[in-house]
Amino acid sequence: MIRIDFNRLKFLVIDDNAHMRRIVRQLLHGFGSREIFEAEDGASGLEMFSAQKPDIVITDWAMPVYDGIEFTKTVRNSNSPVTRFVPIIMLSGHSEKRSVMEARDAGVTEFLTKPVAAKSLYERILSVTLAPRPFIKTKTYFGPDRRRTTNAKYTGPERRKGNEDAEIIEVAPLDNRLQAQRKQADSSTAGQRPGTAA
Amino acid sequence: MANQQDGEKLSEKRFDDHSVIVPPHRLKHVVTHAQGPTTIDMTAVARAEAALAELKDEFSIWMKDECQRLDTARRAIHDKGLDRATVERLVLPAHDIKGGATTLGYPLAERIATSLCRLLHHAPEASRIPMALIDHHVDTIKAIVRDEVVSPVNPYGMEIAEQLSILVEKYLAEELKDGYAEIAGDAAPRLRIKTNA
Repeated sequence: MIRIDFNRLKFLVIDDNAHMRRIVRQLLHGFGSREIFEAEDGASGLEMFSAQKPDIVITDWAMPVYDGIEFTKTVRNSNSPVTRFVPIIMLSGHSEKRSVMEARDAGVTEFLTKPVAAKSLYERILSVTLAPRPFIKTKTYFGPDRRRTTNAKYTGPERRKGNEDAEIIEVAPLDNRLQAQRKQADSSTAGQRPGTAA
Repeated sequence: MANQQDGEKLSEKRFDDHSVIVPPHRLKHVVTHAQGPTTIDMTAVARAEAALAELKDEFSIWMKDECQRLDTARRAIHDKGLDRATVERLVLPAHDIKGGATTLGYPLAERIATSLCRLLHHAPEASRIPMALIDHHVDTIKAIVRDEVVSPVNPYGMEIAEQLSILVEKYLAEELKDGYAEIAGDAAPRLRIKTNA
């Protein structure tokens, strides 16, 4: 079994809706987390982010003035070598495909559609703690690799240039990654990431 | 913060038009492997569900608060007229109900709010949204909460939700014309309006 020591994780929950913040806080408490900070919009979220340096951010999308997308872009474009890599889980009522794509392009790490369930939230947190994806930097994007798999034979217009011989990183579904992580622990083989195929 | 230091190294590989950066895996120390099957820790999930259940007595009160916000925004439209600003004020509480109603125990309210959000998001001209259509959505959500309709398969609630969704799709198809095809895929297949686009 894979366990997360929530007691060692510091969370920042950003949502303009106090009821939703309470729900997320209660779930995190249930997981065992004790350090949970809250903010009611992206702007106060940024202040809290700078002051508390959370390990994981859980943010809503739709908020007045400064929303979760703007918050994410600001974090990803910061100069800090630590904070710009912080996992951001977007918890949103937006469920349309184009919304998920927009959040991905802003640099969120995981997307979770409301209504929030304990298991799906746990899985997202496990995903960002167990095997974080590499980051990609281009002229127009900085954030987690938006491709869950890399097809070496892909020749379309969005093929990245210059990495024809690059390592192929396949980010498998969570269950597969759990299996891989278990095998890795059993064999005590160091230096190989779960779900990674050379 | 778990094991975070500014001085940690990251690896960066540069290519023609991008770089691949592998940041330090700072949170690996919070993940542990216990004996047993390779699964997620369902006891933690169960604890979280139990913790959330402790709040259940408050959910109907919270939902009434959300309805109050929705009604206030609707009244502002009645007072000031339909325009982008007044419609935007309605979007936030509608969106919050869309995202939170099921967790709070009112799944049909989520369904009605989803229809309302779709109407408000995609109507090309705010001033032309039929006020009656907005009112029907808001009043139905209020009725669901007032009458404690917590079943997702309440036949009257389901029928009203279906009819409201159909009305919204018809309205959007008429207003957006060829542009409707771009958003049709987000509606349930049975609700989509066929267009020539």
